[in-house]
Amino acid sequence: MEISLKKINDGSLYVKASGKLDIDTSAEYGMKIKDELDDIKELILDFGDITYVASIGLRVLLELYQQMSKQGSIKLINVQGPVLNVLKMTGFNKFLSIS
Amino acid sequence: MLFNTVKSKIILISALMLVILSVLLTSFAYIYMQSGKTLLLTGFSYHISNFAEEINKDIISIENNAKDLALQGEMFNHIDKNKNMALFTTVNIFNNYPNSLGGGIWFEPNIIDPVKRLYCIYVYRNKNNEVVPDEQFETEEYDYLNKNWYKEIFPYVSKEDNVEWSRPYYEKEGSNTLMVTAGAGIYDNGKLIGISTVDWEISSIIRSISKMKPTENSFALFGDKTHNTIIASTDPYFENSSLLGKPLSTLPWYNENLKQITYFTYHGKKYIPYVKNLDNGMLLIICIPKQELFRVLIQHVVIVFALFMLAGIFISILLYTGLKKYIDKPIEKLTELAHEIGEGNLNTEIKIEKPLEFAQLARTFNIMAHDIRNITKERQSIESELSLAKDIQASSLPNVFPPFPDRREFDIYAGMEPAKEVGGDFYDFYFIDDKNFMFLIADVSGKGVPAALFMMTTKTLINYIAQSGLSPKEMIETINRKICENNKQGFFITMFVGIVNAETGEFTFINCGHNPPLIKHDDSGYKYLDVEPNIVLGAFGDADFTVAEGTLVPGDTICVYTDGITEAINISGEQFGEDRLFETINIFKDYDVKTTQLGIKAKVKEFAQGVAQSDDMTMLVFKYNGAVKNNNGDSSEEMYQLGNEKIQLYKNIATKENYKDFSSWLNKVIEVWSLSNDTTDRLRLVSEELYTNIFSYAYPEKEGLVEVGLMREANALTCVFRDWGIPYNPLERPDPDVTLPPETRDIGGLGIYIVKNTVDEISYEYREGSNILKMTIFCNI
Repeated sequence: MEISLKKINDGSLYVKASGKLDIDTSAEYGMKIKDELDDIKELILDFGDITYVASIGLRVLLELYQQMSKQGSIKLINVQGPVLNVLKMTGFNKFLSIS
Repeated sequence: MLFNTVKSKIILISALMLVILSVLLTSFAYIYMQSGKTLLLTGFSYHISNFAEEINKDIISIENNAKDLALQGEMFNHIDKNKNMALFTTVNIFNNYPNSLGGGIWFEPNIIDPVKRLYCIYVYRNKNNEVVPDEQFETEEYDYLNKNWYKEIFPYVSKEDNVEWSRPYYEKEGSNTLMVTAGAGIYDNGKLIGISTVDWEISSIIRSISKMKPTENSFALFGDKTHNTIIASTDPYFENSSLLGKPLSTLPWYNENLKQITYFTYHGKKYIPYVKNLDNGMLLIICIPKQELFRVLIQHVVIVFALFMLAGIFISILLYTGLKKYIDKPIEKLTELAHEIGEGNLNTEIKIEKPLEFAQLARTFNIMAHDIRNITKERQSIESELSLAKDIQASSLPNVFPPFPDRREFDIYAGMEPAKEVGGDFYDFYFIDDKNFMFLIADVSGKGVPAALFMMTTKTLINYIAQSGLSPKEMIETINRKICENNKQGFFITMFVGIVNAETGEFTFINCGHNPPLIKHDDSGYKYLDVEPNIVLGAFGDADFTVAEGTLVPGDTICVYTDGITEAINISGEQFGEDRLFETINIFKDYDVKTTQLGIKAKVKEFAQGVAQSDDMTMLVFKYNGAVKNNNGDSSEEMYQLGNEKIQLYKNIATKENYKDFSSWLNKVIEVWSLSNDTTDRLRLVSEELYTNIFSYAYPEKEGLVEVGLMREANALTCVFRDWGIPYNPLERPDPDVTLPPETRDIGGLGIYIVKNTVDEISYEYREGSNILKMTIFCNI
């Protein structure tokens, strides 16, 4: 999985990754983001190239949400259909800002 | 049937006994009756004869008396004519004849004394039984010459020694009794000069005759035949006294020929007459009513007959009850207990002490039951040993599938079902080096323990030789030679050996007299592999074997089997046969090896319709999947080359590292089956979650297998996940509350929640030590 992180302005982190957020990749994805979260007020996760999210991926999303809720906000953008289905199924759409 | 039982025979015998007894008794009674009659008649006859004889003695005595008197008369006339002397002598004579009442000597006129016309000497027995003279008869008043008895006797005593009898008459002058007089002539130089007389009182005879009643209604007749006169009669139809002196023919039953008559009828009764003619012309007749004569006899016979009959019935009943008790009952008891033994209750003991024959039989039964019990024990022990042998044999054949989970170049499934407890069939497979995988199937001639022992030896031998690096030809010839060396029992083996190079698919095979294998080389299905077989193993030590070669492409499947499959027989005696096998295997041409192997066996059993298996049934199915590129990274996508079967199977150790391998297989299936995006997404989601769960939780602190099966149908995709880890039913876990705010949410359980919400049907089963989760996704394929 390729992950690119970009700090925009001050306090925003834009993360774009491609591929599946599964058992192989989720941990790496989460770690890389958490490493950059200091002083971040807004976390933007671009899911445009994410084809698939497994439950382990959802855990990572929940952890990120829990951290960001202390220091700012988190939002998912460009979420693809199948992924959106999973998010809706598990009620993650209720608290995550998704577009 | 009814008359074939012992009971009926007993009744029959008893009844027969009774009948025979009755017949015997009747015959006996008849004979008894006849002889009884004869005896009775003879008895009466004898009795009456005796009676007549007594009378005759009296008659003779009277007659002798008369003769003695006549002689005395002659001497008196001739010698001295002394009357006193004559009286004395006469009294003496009469003293010698106590039955005579009296009598005397009577002379014709003027014979003794010319002056005295009448001259007689008379004595009689007085009331004191003393013989005394009586001279009153010499008077002219009496005039003996004119008395009837004198007139009746004198003219008839024509010669010497002749005694003549008078008619019976009442003596009015003397004793006034009924008497007859016997007289003999007195001669002087041939001239009759007078007669002697002796009076015989016959009242006592008449009294005896009236007592002569052999039966109650018998009657008698005493008569004078000479003078045709009745003296006495007890005929109940006449007044006795009125008959005296009347002619014999007064009695209507009397006739001259009575002596020759068996019986006569008189006033409606039958009488048997006994006729005795006495010496003096008198007659004694006793008439006995026939009915009375035989009544007693008949009574006797009836009583005896009845007693014997009762005894007969009693004996028959005894016989019946005895036979029943001593034969029928023991038989019933034996039958009942034999039934019990027959039903398997071998501990049944038959207790019969009497009669001895049955006790003997019961003992034999008990010994038999005991023997059966022992034999059964022995058989059970043999059976358990055979069962053990079966286990040992089964464990000697590879029976864990997949046998090499990390070698995905091929799938293999095999099984052997022995006909008896142990069999002569076997199969085996192993890598003979890094690349070459060998599988074989074989059938030792014969069945049972000897074949199984031979098979075990051979299997070990083949394994040993196969791994010694020889070429296939050298290998098979060495195997054959070794088998021949050790084959003293004349066993032989048919075998098919295949050696596959897992990397290249090169396939070398040798058929040693075995059934032709079936091979699927392309989509058209299975065909029989047409290769001329070699000679069977174990026949000739120096036999030459031909090795055949070919190349397998991924998806090629080979099915080898023993004749237990093709020669399976149904109720009609029909064989399963190669044609039916061909049809059957092609039903399974799109299925995996296990389904194919089990499916064919199931079909064979269905065909057999419960007919016991006569031979071992062994089958091995091998499928070549193609080489696996054993490198890492993204190229693992290319690891799998799959055929287009309806069922795809994945099996491997469940680890995080192997997840890529699983993904690669899954992608290949998705590609081969051209699944839609939606279906693909759902399948991946589900597979990812379940695979993760298995390697994370199923095998704590160790590694274990995961098996994934996919089956496509027209409108559904079925996915089965199986692991042999700790039993766990994920469906029992409560769903997480997805409406809770993120702060309070427990992150566990989401995976299975996602799975449940992604598939259309889901079920869990714990079977054969494994968790089996089966899911269905409805889709169009």
